[in-house]
Amino acid sequence: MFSQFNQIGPLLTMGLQTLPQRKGSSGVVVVGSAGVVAVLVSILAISTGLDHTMRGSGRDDVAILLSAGADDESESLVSHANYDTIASMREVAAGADGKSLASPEIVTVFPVKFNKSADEGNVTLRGIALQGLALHPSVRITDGRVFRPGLTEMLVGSGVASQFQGFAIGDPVRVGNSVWTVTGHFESDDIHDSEVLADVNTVQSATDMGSYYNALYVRLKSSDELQAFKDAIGSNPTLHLDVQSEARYFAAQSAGLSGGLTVVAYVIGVIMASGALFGAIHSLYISADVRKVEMATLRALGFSTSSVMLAFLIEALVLAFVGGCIGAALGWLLFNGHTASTMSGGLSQVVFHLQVPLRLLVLGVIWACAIGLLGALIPAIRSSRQPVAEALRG
Amino acid sequence: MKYAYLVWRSQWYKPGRTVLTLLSMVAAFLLLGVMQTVGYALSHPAPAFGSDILAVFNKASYSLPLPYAYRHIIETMPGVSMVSVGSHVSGYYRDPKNSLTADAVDPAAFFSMRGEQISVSDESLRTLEATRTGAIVGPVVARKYGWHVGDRITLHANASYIQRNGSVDWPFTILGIFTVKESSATAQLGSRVVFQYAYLDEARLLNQGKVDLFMVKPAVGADAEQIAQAIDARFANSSHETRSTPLRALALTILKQFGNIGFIIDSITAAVLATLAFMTGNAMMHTFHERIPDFATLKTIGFSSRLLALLVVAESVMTCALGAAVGIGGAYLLSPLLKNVLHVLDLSPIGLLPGLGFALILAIAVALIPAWQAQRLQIVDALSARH
Repeated sequence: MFSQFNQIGPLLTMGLQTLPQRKGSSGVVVVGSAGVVAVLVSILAISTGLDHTMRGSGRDDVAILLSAGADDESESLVSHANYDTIASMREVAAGADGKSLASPEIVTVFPVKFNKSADEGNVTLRGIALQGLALHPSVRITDGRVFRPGLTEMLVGSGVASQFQGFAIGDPVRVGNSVWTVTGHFESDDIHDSEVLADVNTVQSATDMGSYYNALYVRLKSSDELQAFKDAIGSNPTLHLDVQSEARYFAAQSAGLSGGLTVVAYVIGVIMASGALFGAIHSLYISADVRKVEMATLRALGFSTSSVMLAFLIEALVLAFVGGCIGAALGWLLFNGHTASTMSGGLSQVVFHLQVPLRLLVLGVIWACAIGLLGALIPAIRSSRQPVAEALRG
Repeated sequence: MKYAYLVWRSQWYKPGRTVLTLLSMVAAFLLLGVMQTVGYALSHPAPAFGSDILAVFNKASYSLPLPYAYRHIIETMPGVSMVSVGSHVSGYYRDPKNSLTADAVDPAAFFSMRGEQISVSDESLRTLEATRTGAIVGPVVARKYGWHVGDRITLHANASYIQRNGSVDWPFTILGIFTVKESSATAQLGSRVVFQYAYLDEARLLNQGKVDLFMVKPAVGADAEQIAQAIDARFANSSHETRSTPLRALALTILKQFGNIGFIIDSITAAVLATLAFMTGNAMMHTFHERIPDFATLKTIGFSSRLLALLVVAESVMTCALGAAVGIGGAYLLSPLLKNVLHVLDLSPIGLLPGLGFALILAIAVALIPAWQAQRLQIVDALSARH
């Protein structure tokens, strides 16, 4: 066993030193695994980025209340009377001014022209109470000021401002029959970045919602209160509301969109990896054929068959590893932070940034190594079975 | 043609390698085929969207309603042949996990407008018009929940569809199951539950006298785009402004909103192709190179240089054609599966054509250097393997 390790060192050095003589077949392994990894990493970067944005900064101590049975905010309807009941509940935290941290919210979408084309896309307009800003702490105002209650003023997310026409501060924005004024811009690295925020009562009258809202957001005194809060609402016969933590709600919203994309990434990844694997087997066959005499000579000189084989495997692994690193680096350079947008469930646009975290890079390199090892295995076994004398004849 | 057998046999010069080349080529073209069909589909909505029928929404937001009274105004406008109304009640059936949406329509107009995609017996249509709480359902949803004609079902609606009696439970009696004539419409229409708008409007508490949208069918020969403009102009500056779009254009707008993910898909396709083309091309070139002594033999027995070059190209084309045919064929067989996932899309086989073109380019590119080598081959050098 010890002698084996002694043998592999020089064999490997020799193999790697003669690599330039086998540019073709070693290039195939490098390029193949680089391609697979680049593709896998970039598709997973889409779903990772989308998932990050959709889940956003969903918190465990913020509860979202929807009418019973509603899957998302736009389907839900909550009355003003329900809001009053909820806001006065014991589990609800109070803000600095002593008012309870509860925000009744209305979401609606309106059509706007894109920046770069004549097409129209949908933007989400979210009506919030002023204390709603404390409930959505991810919102950071970068420019201008907050809307004033009772006025048709709006605060615009950076995703909306960058993607659509006419959202500079002071610009008039037409939503149906009313004209709104942009008073400020904000950034948030979650779904709100693709939204426009305004006063909920103004939105309520603009959308003919009467005394109804779509959803209630409530900050609890602590996340431990969630169960008690749920129980209290469940036992109140006047309330037909579903309660869940904001974190859970957004995770569920995300699963539908980015979950499908992750499946697509793996399906494409597996098909492509199998194509690359066949290619790698093929070129390593060629490489083993070309080096038949060389390897037989080594065995005749006294190197053990298994160490010759192992050196061949490790060499392929090194090539695939290098390819995998190149592919992962390519995916990272091209797509990390790349801004993309797509349509979310409610037909409105979500702007998000592609993300290539370390775990994706590691995953990619592992796939590459697997391709290298599997690709080298059959050619290595085949050449090791050849009798030395026969192989020496070439 | 007489050389076909020769090309076929030399193709299998080393069968193991040929199989490997073919397999990686099949993987490449399978991916290419799938990506191309999806890419093509993203710019070509399914015909089930009904070409020039107009959808009329509230201009402020398609989630806001329009007054029912608009129907009579639109009906009298020139070029309009038929108007149907649509409103929906969404909720769930039995378990909150089974979300269900029922469409309140004008039954006669609905089935007449969708006549190319779905059909229903005259008898069930007549009973539906006579039965307030009746419903006609699609084959997909009927199979899913095991519904039969005569069954009574309850839709537990979301709070916004509360009835005047305070209940959110909407009972329906199933009067018929329609059939879907065009398979590409199955996903879009097969799960519909259709009932009378009159029932919805007299029972509900909120939004009475309102509809979600109108569907307007232009008369034969009328210009849909013009009618859309006329409708929007008619209601401009009213309390409820409209936005009318032909369904086809609407579908295209929705598809476009998948946004620049399309660009990323294109770059990925390019990366897949470049990688696998490099890999297979390299292997095939190597194989040709090994066979140079064989080519010399052929030349010795009288094959001309040009014929030899042609044979090399033919062999490469044959390999690529085989790999491409199997791969693209596989993508074609997979497309019904994709159709179920991406039901808005028309997965037309036309999307597969660029793949065949690419196969030809790859075949010629791979054969170029070996063909050139075969042509300028010196017999003596090659036979003694001094190339």
